[in-house]
Amino acid sequence: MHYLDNAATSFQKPPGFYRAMQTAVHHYNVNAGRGSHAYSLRGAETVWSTKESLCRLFGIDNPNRIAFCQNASMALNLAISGILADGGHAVVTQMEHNSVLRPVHHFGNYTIVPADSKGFVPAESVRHAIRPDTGLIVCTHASNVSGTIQPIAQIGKIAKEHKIPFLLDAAQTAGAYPIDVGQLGVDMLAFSAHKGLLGPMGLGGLYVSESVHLSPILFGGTGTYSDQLTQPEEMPDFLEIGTQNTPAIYALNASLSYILARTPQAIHEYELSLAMHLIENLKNISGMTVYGMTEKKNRNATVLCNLTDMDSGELADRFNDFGIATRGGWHCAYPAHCALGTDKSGGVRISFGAFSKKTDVYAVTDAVYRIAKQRKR
Amino acid sequence: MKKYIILVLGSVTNANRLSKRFFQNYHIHTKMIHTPSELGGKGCSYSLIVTADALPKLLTTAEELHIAVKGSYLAEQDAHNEVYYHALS
Repeated sequence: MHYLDNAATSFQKPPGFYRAMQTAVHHYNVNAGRGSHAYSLRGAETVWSTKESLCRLFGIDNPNRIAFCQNASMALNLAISGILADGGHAVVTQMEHNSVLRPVHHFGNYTIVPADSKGFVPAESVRHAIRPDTGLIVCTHASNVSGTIQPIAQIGKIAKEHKIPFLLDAAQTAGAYPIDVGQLGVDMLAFSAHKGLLGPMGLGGLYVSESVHLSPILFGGTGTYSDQLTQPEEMPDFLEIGTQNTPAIYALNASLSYILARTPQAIHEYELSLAMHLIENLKNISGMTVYGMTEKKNRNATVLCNLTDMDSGELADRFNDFGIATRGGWHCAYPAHCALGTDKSGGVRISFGAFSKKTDVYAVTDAVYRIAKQRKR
Repeated sequence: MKKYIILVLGSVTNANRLSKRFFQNYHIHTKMIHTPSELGGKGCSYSLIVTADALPKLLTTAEELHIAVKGSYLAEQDAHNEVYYHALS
């Protein structure tokens, strides 16, 4: 199988990850930080060690400001609900995933900043959407539909000027693109473990800077202040309720070691070279349309395309017949498709990962030629 | 009379982390205990025991790790093993 659905999840992982998963299920089925016995302490140490790795990756200075949770969607919900539950207006972009749009819609007071036909949102448009009661700005780093990368540093600067917390959805970039929360002006960062971080499913996280105040949304045991009925205010206990997924956290650290050694910049450049190779090939095939950024600038390795008069779901199914894993449809981000002009039929998303190869590009190119040729008959 | 310092921390995780980093930094061992009930320790609170001269270094290490210290106490143990606590912070 040519696996090209890395925007959904990375299928291929570093060798160390597989070994770590085996070790994890044998030695890290422990309740981290719940007791002083050796197993619990070992679990707590691996949680801390993994957070230290994440700090190195994201330029965070305090591991306590990172809370693990189930996935990026939950991290986004914790951040969005933690701010909007007390009221206030939110600014989001048209390129957001439903994991952002649905929570802000639930609270009902928000502005969607439009994107252009390439999926790009100018930072000044975000500035113009700010109101006196705006309490949160949310932006995806890279679109899960078109791979368009947004001007995060500029938006972060605008957020700072207005003293509004800035939440970055890094589901599509964490591990596969350089991120430094300080340089980008990011106050909160949501990430998942199983995509660019090359880790296991069922694990995500939220970084919250010391300047941000969240209201608690979830309540429960933390292994601290057990005599109190109120949720502890300290991070990460404030957000990390219940038993942590210690085996997954241990395995994630193995993947982080790989990423830190190879570097997100190098991974990005490698993936992007494959994506650009494919885009150039697709441009030369009659009937193929590539959406979003078609040059290297402001994009990652996610490519959205369609074949004239063929439903995106059908094209994705045809790719599957050729042993190629892609994803058709609307990708849980319908407004983004409206911006790109693919709202009627959706699109086929081809997303490269850290272990994709040139042979994947050749396979897609060959399959498109054959599918197009068959349709002409 | 035996004297020592008790540094109260919020969780076993923090106590263990601080203890290990303190040993890495200064090669000084600490003892981890459940926080005595007299010091408000209930359930999940853990403390570290050190000698008085090591306290400044321990506090510096806690700051380095961003670990919140809940309190520090001078413990005095008499010949009958009765312990008296005096708050330092």
